[in-house]
Amino acid sequence: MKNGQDRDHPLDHYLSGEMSLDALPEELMREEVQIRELLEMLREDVAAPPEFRADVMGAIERLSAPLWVRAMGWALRPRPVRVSPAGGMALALAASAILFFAWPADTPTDGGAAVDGAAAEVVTRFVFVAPDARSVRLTGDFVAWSREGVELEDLRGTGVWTVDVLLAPGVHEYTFIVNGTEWLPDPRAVSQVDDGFGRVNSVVIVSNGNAL
Amino acid sequence: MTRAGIALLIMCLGLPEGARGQQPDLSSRLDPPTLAAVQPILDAAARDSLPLEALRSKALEGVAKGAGPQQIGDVVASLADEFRTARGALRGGLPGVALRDGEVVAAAMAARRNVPLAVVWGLWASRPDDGSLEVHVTVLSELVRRGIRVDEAATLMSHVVRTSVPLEVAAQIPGKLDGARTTGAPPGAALAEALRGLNIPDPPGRGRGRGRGPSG
Repeated sequence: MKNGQDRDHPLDHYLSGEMSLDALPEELMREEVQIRELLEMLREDVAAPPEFRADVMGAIERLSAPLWVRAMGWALRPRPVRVSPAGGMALALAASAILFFAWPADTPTDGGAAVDGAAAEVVTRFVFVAPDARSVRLTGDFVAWSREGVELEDLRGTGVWTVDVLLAPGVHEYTFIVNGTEWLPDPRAVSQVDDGFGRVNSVVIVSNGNAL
Repeated sequence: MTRAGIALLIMCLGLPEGARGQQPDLSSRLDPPTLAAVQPILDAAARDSLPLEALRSKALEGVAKGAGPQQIGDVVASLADEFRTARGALRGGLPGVALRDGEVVAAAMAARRNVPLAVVWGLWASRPDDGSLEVHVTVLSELVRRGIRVDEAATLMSHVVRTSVPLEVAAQIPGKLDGARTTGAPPGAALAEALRGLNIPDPPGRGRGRGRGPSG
């Protein structure tokens, strides 16, 4: 049979039930009988050799090494990799791109020295009291104003919704979304600012030690 | 190169922007009309070294709040103008000083509170090191918003900067002032009480419990 294109092959007719085994050419009939015998052998119960169980369990134990051990083993085992000159150049360009774009960039400066803007993030607690709310979410510049934001929880069922968020030190604007539709400022915030869209944003000042 | 090396390279290339502290790609959140309204403003802002992330954030905020392309464009343009003015004033008063984005944003917000930018850049003159003044400028404008005289607030915050009052303490001044004002004390007296509560030494020329000036 040539990739199923030769529909007149006797094997096709046999497999489709249009031809009996006896009607097959002798060579094909012999092969078919051998295959049937092989299948019968495979169906028989076979007693495993005594060492089989120990071998299998040993192999499983080796496989059950922690993922990171297996990953390290895979990563550290040198393998030859064939790279074409063009591929090599592409990889070199990609590496250069990483150095250019992913390297920590200096904070925009005005001709002076670079400014280190990196600082440890601070756990900042947000609290919103809304006894009748079904859901309260927090959104702000620190989550790119995503409507999904961060969900607050009313852990005690008292209407006091809270969430702890890691924020970079600095000044952030935020607001709460109640029941998915109401955008409400935080009455406890240190400040409120006009958002330009007809609403008010709350302001949180995050310093290295705490947030206000 | 080993396969591990290639895998590392691919992982680095695939790092999500958020992992690098960047805003999401605007084109994924802004519809074409909004992007068309905002992009030229961002391009001009980039040329002028304005705080781009804050402008991008404002555009995303507008989308999240359901504003239309025109309004988002107007708001972002207006904010960019505020940043441009603040940065220009700070650059004029502080030639050669490196400005952080957050500091420019805080200065722009202070200007909104009618704090003269010449007063704002006075904080830089008090700075003993190159620490960020974003929080100090914000506290300064919050004090003014709460009724403290501009010169008094500026003197206090320059003192806070010069004497390296810890940032977490400085950031509490507006809240403490609010607390002190609940007793009915006028702003100046309430500020004195707030400073006492925070163990912040008096600025030069401002005695304990003074605060009977124009803002007190």
